[in-house]
Amino acid sequence: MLLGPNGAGKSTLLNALAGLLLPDNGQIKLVFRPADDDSAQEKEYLCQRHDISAWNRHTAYMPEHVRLLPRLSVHETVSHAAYLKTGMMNTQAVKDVLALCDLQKHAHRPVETLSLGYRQRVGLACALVHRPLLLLLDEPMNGLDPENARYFVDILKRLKSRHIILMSTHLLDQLADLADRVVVMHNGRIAGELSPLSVEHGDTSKAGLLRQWQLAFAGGLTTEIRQRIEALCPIMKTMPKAVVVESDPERNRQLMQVLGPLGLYAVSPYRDSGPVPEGGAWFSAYRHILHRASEDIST
Amino acid sequence: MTLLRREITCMWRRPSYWLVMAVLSFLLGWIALVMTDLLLAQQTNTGPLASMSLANQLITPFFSVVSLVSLVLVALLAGQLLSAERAQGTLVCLLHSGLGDMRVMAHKFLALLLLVVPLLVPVAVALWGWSGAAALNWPVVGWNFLAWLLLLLWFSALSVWLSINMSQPGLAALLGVLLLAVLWLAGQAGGGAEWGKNWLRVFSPRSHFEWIQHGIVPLSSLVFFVGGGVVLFGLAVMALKRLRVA
Repeated sequence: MLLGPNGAGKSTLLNALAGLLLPDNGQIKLVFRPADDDSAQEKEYLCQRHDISAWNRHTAYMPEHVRLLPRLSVHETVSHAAYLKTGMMNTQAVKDVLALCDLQKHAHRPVETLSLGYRQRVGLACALVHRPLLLLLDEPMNGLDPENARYFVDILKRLKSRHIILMSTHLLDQLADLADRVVVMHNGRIAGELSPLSVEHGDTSKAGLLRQWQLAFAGGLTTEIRQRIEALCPIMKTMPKAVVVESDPERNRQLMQVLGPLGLYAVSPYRDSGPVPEGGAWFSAYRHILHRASEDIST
Repeated sequence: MTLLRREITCMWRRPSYWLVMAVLSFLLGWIALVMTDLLLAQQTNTGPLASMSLANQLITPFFSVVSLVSLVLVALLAGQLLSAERAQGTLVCLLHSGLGDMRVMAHKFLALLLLVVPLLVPVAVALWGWSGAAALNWPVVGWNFLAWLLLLLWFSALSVWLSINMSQPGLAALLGVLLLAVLWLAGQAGGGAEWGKNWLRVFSPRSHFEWIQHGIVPLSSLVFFVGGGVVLFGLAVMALKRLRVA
């Protein structure tokens, strides 16, 4: 699982792994040990400029906003995706993936008539139909209603044993259920790695560790922003582009939902001595808090 | 569903495709009808003997009109094949496909040609009608078909190349039509000049097209249509490769 604020480089990394961007230097290599191979020999595939289509056959990429051809039906779209990946028609694979994503009932509906949740499912079906080794998902649950998001999480849980899945997300409450590893990105680099357990514990218990949080806004503070914050929690301190509030993780989640569209770009823990740490690297601080939370629970 | 089938299915489900085809078919049918009227009037004046050559005099100008109409259709369709995919964001599926660049482009190119095929219907009807009124010179028809086919292949390659390089389908179509008009008029502009000095004609598809229509197939025309088509297709393949690994 990839975590990080906007602009951290998550989508760029996924695009590079999908072969849509080639790195200026270095190599992208997929090294794996097949689960059904007793010889335990590692295999590897290299992403190469001159043979990008070979790389594409082993990977699948689902962008944040799935774009589908509106005039095709669900079945045609998935069957076409199978052809694009393998150069062959595979009717059984199409049937299987439609069943997996619970799309059989809608198989003959034009994709333009589907809701966002179902379109995302079609996108996932297209990504899975050629049974890729590496499945890359760029914030696949953004904009989904809770029911569809839950359904998506269920499907991904089932897929974990069959594919290597790398998914970027902003939604921390999905981590504990889905992730084996959580990598935090910041400024195009890996800032650190969290255990999903610590995220889960952090989400539920860090209220006792820290009460003050700094909310930073890209476009500065407005009256509307202040009113929305005050409706949820008290403001302790005001700065030109940020406020310090007394909050807890549950309220933070509400704040992120309400203030995200108004330009909230960072939520960092705050102490009286100042923001922790400097430079808006809130994920490092978040990581620190989460580790403290998990240590606290374990003792 | 192959890429070729997808292109044809998507286009056949677009009401605008049927509208454009209906307008162009009506236009061709109308022109054929006007020409048939002319043939019948000439037959009445000159008698049945002269009608044989008259029928053949209709074929060449009719094929010139058919060719121009089909090229406009190619320009409009090519804009939808690749530029529209860039505009809609669906091109990422092609860029992330396991198919080679050549194969992707070949499917797009073939789809473009197949989508023009319905225009053969009014042409076939017109020829059938004329063959009933007078004996047609089938070799002349054959040369005209060959000239049309070569021109169509060349311009399809040009349009596909323009389309892959543009992200606005309307602009790609407009540029295709403009380029065609300029090159066509260039052939007319160089028409009166002395042979050897009329270099504009060498670059104009019109001159090569007209030579082949009259049964003259110089090497330069073959190089222009076949060689030019292959080069433009190759450029389109390279443009797709560049997009893949931006």
